[in-house]
Amino acid sequence: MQQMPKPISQIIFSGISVHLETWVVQRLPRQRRMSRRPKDPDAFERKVRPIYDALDSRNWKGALKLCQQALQKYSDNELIKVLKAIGLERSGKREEANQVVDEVIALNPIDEQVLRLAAIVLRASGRLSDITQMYENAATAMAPRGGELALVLQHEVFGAHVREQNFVKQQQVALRLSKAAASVAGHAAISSERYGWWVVISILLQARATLRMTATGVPAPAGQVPSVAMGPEKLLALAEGMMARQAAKDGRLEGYDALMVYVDVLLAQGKASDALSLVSGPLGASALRLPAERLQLRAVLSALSGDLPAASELLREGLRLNPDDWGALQLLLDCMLPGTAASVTRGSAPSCPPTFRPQHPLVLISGGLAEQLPPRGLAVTPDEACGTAAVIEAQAVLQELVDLVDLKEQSPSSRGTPGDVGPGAGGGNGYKAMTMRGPDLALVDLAMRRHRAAAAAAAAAATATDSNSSNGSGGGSGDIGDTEAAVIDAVLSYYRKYGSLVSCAVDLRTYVSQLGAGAASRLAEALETEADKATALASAAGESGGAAALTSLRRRVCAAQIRDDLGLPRLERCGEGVELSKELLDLYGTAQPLQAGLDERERGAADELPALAGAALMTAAGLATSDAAAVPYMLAAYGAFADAVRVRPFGAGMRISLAALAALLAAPVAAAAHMYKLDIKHIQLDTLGAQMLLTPLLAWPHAGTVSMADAESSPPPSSPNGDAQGNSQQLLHRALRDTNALFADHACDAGESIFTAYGHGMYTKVLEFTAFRERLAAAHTLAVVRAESGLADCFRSSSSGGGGGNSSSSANAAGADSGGAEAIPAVDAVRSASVAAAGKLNPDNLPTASSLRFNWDLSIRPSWLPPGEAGPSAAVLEWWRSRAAGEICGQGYGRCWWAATGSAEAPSSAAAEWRTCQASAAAHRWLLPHCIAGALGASGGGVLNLREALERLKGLMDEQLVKSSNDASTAGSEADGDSREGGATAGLASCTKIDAEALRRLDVTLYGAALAVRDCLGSGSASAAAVGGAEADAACRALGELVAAVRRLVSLAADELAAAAREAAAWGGVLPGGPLAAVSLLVQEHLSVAAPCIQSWQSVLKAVRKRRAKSGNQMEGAAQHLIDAVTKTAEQLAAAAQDCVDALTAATGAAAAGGEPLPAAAAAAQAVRFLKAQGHAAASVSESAASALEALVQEQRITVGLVMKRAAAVAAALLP
Amino acid sequence: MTTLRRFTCNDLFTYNNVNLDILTETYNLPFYLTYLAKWPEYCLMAEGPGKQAMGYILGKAEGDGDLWHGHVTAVTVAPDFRRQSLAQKLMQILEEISEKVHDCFFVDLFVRKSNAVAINMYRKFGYIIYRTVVGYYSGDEDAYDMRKALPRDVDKRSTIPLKRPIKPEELEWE
Repeated sequence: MQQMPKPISQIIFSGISVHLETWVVQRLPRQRRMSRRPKDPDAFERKVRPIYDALDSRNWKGALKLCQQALQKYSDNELIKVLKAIGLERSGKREEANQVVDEVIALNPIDEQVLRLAAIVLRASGRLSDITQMYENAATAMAPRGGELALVLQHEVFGAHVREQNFVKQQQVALRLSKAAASVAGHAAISSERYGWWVVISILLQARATLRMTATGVPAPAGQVPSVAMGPEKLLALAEGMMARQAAKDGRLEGYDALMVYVDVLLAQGKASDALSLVSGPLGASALRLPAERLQLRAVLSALSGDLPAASELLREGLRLNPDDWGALQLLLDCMLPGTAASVTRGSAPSCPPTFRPQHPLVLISGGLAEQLPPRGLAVTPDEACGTAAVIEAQAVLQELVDLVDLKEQSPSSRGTPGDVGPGAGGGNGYKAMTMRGPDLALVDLAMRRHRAAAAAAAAAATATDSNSSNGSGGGSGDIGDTEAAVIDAVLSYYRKYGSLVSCAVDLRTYVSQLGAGAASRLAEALETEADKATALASAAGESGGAAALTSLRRRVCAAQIRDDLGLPRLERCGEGVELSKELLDLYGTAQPLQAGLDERERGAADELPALAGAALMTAAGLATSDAAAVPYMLAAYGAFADAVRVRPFGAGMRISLAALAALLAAPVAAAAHMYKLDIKHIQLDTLGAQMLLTPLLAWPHAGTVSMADAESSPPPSSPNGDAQGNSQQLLHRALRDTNALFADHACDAGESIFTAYGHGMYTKVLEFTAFRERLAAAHTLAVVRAESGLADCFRSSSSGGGGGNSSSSANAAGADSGGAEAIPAVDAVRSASVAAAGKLNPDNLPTASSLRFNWDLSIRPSWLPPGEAGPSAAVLEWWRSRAAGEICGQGYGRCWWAATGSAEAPSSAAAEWRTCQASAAAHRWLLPHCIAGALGASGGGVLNLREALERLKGLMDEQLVKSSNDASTAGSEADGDSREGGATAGLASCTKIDAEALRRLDVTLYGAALAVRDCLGSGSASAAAVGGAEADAACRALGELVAAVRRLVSLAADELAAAAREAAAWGGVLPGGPLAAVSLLVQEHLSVAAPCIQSWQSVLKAVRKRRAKSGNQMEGAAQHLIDAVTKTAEQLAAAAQDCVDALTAATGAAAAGGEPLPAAAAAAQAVRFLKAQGHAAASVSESAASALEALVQEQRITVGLVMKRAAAVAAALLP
Repeated sequence: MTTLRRFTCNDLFTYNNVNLDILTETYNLPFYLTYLAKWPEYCLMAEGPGKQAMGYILGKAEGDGDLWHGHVTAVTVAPDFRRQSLAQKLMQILEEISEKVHDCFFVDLFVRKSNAVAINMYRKFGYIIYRTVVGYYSGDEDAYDMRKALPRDVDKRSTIPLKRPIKPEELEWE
């Protein structure tokens, strides 16, 4: 279905490559090139061409050598110099490259090619304003001469302003260009007309920036809004006037994009009727080449201008040509039954009639002006709401379309067998009719609209009855019953027709998910009956076999999917989950013989079933009485998925489930391997990587490469720079680096794409790309990876050679033999890492829900993997807490708020709450490097003052607490909030569970103690001032609180681990990830920072003591008090770290019956035996399942071992 | 029920149900943006009833003289929406745009020699194997260059198969 680009294209589209630029240059007329080139152009060409060839084939070294040789002959040649700069830049010598370019541009070059190549180097270094300056100088130098080259240089100046997003200057330059192009008419590559449009677009971008500034209250960057105050209305009117004049002058509109921008500007001003006239008139005809497109647009604009009957008529005309057009079908129903439109909003006052806004993707221009303004609704009059006559008419219209489709599908080339495995079923050289489910699904849609209207009417009647305190007729509920039954009937009839299509359940998802409990059960039963009928028919068909069996199987699968979307069956006991999974996996087994020979990359006929079976097992895990008891069900699910991917190695849903399970069970490398198997890259690092890759890699320490954990997986694509093998944090670093690069590269390249769109007259794309650039720059993922990259350096940096010897030697003594993750970095290393990190995380740009864009594709998450409130680092821990709170259920995917397309940015309250929590979590992480730096006594260089940083951390916590105080489930942990520190640190010493919130509160406690100690130590280690008694008391108290909190949390985790281990002995000792994640985070983060903090305080205090001793003074009591408290804290935290080691040792030892851990293979075998005894499906305990489980067991042990080593290193570092 | 509309940047955030299919390549951002900036009429998204991506096509028009043609760069359908002739519908539209908007002589596409399912499908749509491009896919696999003549190529000269396999560097366009 899909083809790869030509290899050369990959080079071209790498965006910053030389090839792109040479390619562009080759397309320019030769006479445009002005150069100070040598007399013998042929000889010169012979020197230069091989340099281009070497650069094109990425032979940087060879290119540089050739440049060197060429420069011996042409020592002053600018072109060769910039080619050399390109070679230097590409071979990583960015500084030298910039030097060479600076030398060249100091001579004010005017050669297009030289400028273009110089710009590549400057752009790669982010020197956008220098590019602008360079082109402006060249353009100024050429201006007096005029002509084509002057025009070309001005054109490039415009491009430079596009890169810098300076809309005001763009407008000025475009105006000059349009005049100049008119004067060289016929010679300019771009017409004066197009430059005229550039002016318009530049004005519209200013209008857009002004509107956004007003909406967000954030000032626009320089050059984006007009310098003289000019409201958006005026800017829009100005743009409209210019477009009208331009169109009148040219007698046409340049094309689709010009027309659509014009329409957008009219709609933004509420002039829908004018837009309709424009499209209906000659200008519309001149711009739209496809009649169907124009008809569609006229229909939408008729609706927007309030002429619903006309819109309906046009839509029906369009639908007769293309009955499957869902956007048109939806709009048609909106127009025929305006009261039932999804966009209906009801006025708050009863006198305010409800309004609705006709919607259609044709007029939704991303980044457009209409999008920025509040929607203009059309009033819905009561008789239009959902009258019986209107419903009957709509029904008839749809039925007519259904008949039309049926007729088309019966015409000469018959439909392929629905169950056909090949995508191109159907014969002959030509096309067969596409399956057009639209009108049939629209009948379901209509039934649902009617039911919703009836339910709303009944609710309104009930309210009225209540308020009148009189006895109502009560007839409403009967109507609802009828309308609901009609929905069920419509769904069933759709199922009868399309139940064997893979998309059937997906098509019906939004409808069945809205049904009430009673209706859901009735529908599920009826589907069961239908599916049975199909099976009976298939077996009656006898030997005609394959196709009929496949069709009947598809119907069964579809029925099972719909049942799941209905939230059924409601499982109440773990055993029911096991039974259901068996039933589904058995059915899956029957599919295998029917698809022999199917390419492993294709979707199989029943590939949805393992996901449903896994979901049933995860419900069982959710129902289990303890975290430990949940593990076997998760192992069974892991086994079943592993068994399924043996046949379908690229099944995305299965891989994602495997990755999630591996993450939850402390196997981060396996989790990453499953995700990389899906070859996720580029934009997917934002939409998928941040949630599915970063979560395991941040939660767990890990070592080695992907292939270690999953032998059947290919290692992730290697980066162009190559990776240092053996780096124990390779996976996390890779994920963070690649994700960062996605955003950094786009920040670099976006301007080029926008400029290209200008060049091709694609004005809607200019607006769209501008919005896209903003969306990526504000990505939540970017905030997360920026914070986590900084934190990874602070928490997990391996000992950096230099730095305070004390800690590294003790870490070594603790047996950190692999020279990396387990060792506690030296104080100096942590300090410099935290300062560097803080410098990149400007506290003025702290992430907030309103400033971030949420691009995660949450729809890939199964029902049992709700998008948690914690950030990625604590998401594993949070999942286990949700499980314990009874919030994990595998059924009802269609009812999950995150299942909808684009749900992360949905307006629903659940989505809004998720965004708020994610932003708060990201902001917390954003502040941590500042806190660490402050705790270690660093300041300046963008580091926020520790007091301020701490206040902000608390502020974020308080916001969270306000939120969770409305949430009954967390009420228990707030019980003792009497601490003077306020809510943020309240009650940690006596808290009863470790969750993401407790860990955040521990941060507040830790940096609170750090602040108190720092207050005593004064600024810097040179402080000679006496330590105040009150400060010392406060510091001692804060340290005491820290110790109490840490010991409490560690003891909670240790108890949980011990209890889990006792249970886990029965299945080979596989532990639940909850308590493990708690220990992992405590050790890797809090204790790993506390250790260098304490070391740094001790060394300052030691210096103070030395000074006092030298000057013959005694230590004052307060200072001594503090020294004692810090020493005691070190001992206590070391003891806590040792407790972690002991708890993990005991858990892994105790998990095995004999006290010694079983080998992984034996442990996995024991787990399989346990699963068999529990009665799990054969797939869960198959050979491939068993080997996957063995790898999982093995990796959990490695993870535990790494946490233990880290904990031992912390303990050793803290003891003298 | 399909809404056919132009592909937009925002689709990149929600197209995973299509692109998680291993046969569908996820390109870098400049790749998509270049197509959208130059040939937006050739980049179409088929959207399902829940606004989910059903499938999409990316293409372009290029070539000189009687080699002026439409090119299919990518056509793909999400596993959930296969067996409904959606790919065919998308191809049909691309051909219509090549014919009516750009007045091309033919439409061409490249396909992995090993992808028998796709090759058969294109054959059914009227495409013939015009020539083989050796080592087209990063040097490790050959491609078939498949073509279908449009009405402007009255004698169907564009689709007379070339016997000799060619190398990627011999291709007329990039």
